[in-house]
Amino acid sequence: MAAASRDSATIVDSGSTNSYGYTIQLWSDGKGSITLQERDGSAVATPKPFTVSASTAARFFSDVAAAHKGNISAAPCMKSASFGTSTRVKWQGWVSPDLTCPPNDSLGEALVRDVDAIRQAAGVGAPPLRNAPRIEPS
Amino acid sequence: MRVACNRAVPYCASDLEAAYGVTQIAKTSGKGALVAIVGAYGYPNAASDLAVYRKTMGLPPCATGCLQVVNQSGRSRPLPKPNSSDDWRLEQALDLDMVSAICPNCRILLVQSNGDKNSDLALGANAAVALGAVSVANPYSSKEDDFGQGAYRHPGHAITASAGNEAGVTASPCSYSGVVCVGGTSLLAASSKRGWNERPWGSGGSGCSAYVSKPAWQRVKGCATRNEVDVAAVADPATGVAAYGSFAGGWQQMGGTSTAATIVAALFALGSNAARANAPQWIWRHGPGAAYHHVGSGSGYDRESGWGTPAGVTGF
Repeated sequence: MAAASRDSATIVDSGSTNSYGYTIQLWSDGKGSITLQERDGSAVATPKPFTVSASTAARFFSDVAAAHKGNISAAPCMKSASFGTSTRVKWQGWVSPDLTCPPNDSLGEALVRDVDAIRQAAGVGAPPLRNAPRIEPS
Repeated sequence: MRVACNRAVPYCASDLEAAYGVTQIAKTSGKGALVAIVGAYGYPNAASDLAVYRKTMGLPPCATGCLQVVNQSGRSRPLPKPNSSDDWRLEQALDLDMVSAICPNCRILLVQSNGDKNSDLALGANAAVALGAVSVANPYSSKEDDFGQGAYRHPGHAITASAGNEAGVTASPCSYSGVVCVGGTSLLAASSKRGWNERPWGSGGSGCSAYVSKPAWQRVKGCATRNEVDVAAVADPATGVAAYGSFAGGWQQMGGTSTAATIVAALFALGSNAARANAPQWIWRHGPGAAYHHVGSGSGYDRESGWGTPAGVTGF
């Protein structure tokens, strides 16, 4: 009996002037990896594995398929000049609108929630700032 | 790791005041002047984080009435919540710190829009003007258009915006003719008479507007439409400023043209010239000249840094 094929999707965040971008590769079994990168796409660290629950993964892939089918869109939005990023999901040749801009419907809102949960699990709930270590003026 | 405030990166408030020639006037001017910052979503720790910055920098505390936080309607309640998928808290932290650094006696109005739609932030900018802000910093940008020009045209108030952080790309609201469009520089200590050296950052927005016609007061050739950048200040994160955000681990070195846009907004509060004219026109009236440190090649207008960086408050 052939093994069931795993679906996969990619979440790409552009990064900003002050934060690294990242690429998250997530598989339908909940396994994933995250790679921090410069704005030109070059990696700044080796991919780091992480896992999300099976239910989170299932919901994400279901919502991605629905978003694709529903042709979701997002309103134009302003970006913080120094910290604003764009975040998009790539799945089976489809690319989502920028998920940091307000989605126009519930399908988009669901995808934003999923991506937020996956980001948290991958350790980038907060922007990965470039200029660590932290300093304390004196 | 501790960094001394002695003209080394990341820059402290005293470094920025020295670099832009306002060390003395910052101590005595700006009392009561209201500088507004417009951003999206909430930042519940704004006041406590700002207190840490001001105390560490040796600035007077932001006492009662010094910091007012309102929503895009200009009301103190309800304030929006932070948005984890589009977090503007660090932007607001940086902006609050920069206004404090340049104009420690100013009052600060933080306007938090409900979201980051262009219309939400435009409402926030209008609320800031309605509440009496002398200057309004808009440290954000989007793909250029001309839909929102009216929301950012407020003669008698200095409306600043960031040129954006995409090299050679124009943005809204910066290119609007009622806005002082602020570009970015790299700032380094030097042994020159000024004590500082600046050059164009190289990663800031700039160029000829695709939508906004050339204002009569823009007398420089090169663009048939509006030259986007009017003036500049430090923005290069490699020569960045110290700013504090408790939720982001505390002290950080930050940059971007939002740094520059808020510095210039605070300078307009110190200079008190915003009420005299259309603020961007005021910049062009004084450039080239002693009001600005020339940045870039040649001696005139520079596409990325405009007429240069602040040399005191005459040009503001």
